[in-house]
Amino acid sequence: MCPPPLALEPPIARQSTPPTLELSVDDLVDNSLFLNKEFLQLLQEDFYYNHIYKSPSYYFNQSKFFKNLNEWKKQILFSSDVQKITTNQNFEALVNMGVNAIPFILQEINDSPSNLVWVLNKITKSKISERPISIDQACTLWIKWGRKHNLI
Amino acid sequence: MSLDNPQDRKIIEAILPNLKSSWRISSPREPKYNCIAWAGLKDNIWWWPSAGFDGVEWPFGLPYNLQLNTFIKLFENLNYERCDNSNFEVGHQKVAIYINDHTKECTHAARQNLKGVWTSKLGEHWDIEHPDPFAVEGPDYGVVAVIMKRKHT
Repeated sequence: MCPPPLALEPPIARQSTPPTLELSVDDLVDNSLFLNKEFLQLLQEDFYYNHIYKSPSYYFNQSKFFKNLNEWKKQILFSSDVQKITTNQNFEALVNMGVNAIPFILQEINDSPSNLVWVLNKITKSKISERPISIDQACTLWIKWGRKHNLI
Repeated sequence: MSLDNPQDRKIIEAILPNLKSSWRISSPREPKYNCIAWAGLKDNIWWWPSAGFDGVEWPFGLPYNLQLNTFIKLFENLNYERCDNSNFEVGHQKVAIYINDHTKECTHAARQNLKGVWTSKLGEHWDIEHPDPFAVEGPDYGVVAVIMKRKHT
């Protein structure tokens, strides 16, 4: 039997699915900092805050960040392959920027949650939560973390 | 701008050249889930055999590799079994698993809904509806390797 033709009607609500993630972001905040201890220690020294914002290379870093970000998004456009997405050379260039990229990442995911959050996972060698949370919940938690450390 | 607008259609058709006229964009861009999760009826997580990333999980204790058998096991855990065609069957739901024709690694999955229309999630972007699983074959997603079905409960 042939499949029926596509219905040309306004998009309909998605089929309801049972939620995987039962916890709200607020439930997770207290348990959220499964972060690399060495990285946290460095941040506590305020070194990176001063280093990032007062560095003469701030605008250079900003330009480099957006160039790599735009290329990365273009090259991984419709991929679901997390390996492919996170081994792309532009993704790796973002990771190699290290802490200099963090304020730009936080601003971006604050404006629009996305898998750019995976660069934070690589730079900090940490996940924001060991629980299976969604990308937008992870972005919210990373932004809270960034505010706590004056990075956004 | 409407959901199914010419500008976004042009972007999609450039990447998926086998899409003909009978397809449409059926959701806004949404980064929370990917094609594999969407084929498994999840819309709040990425399913992929990668560890260490927020928002990504690989369920059912499956091995972390891109082999076709691993993805078949994923859908077997959701009560699907292999079948030999993608035709619409009343009361059944089907999924298609795609592989890269050269590496034989899995690249994509699509799902047939209960009306017989196929749906794909395009990376972190849109869901689209297409008339058959072969419409999204091409350089990006490779070819359909396996069709599986389950009874709708």
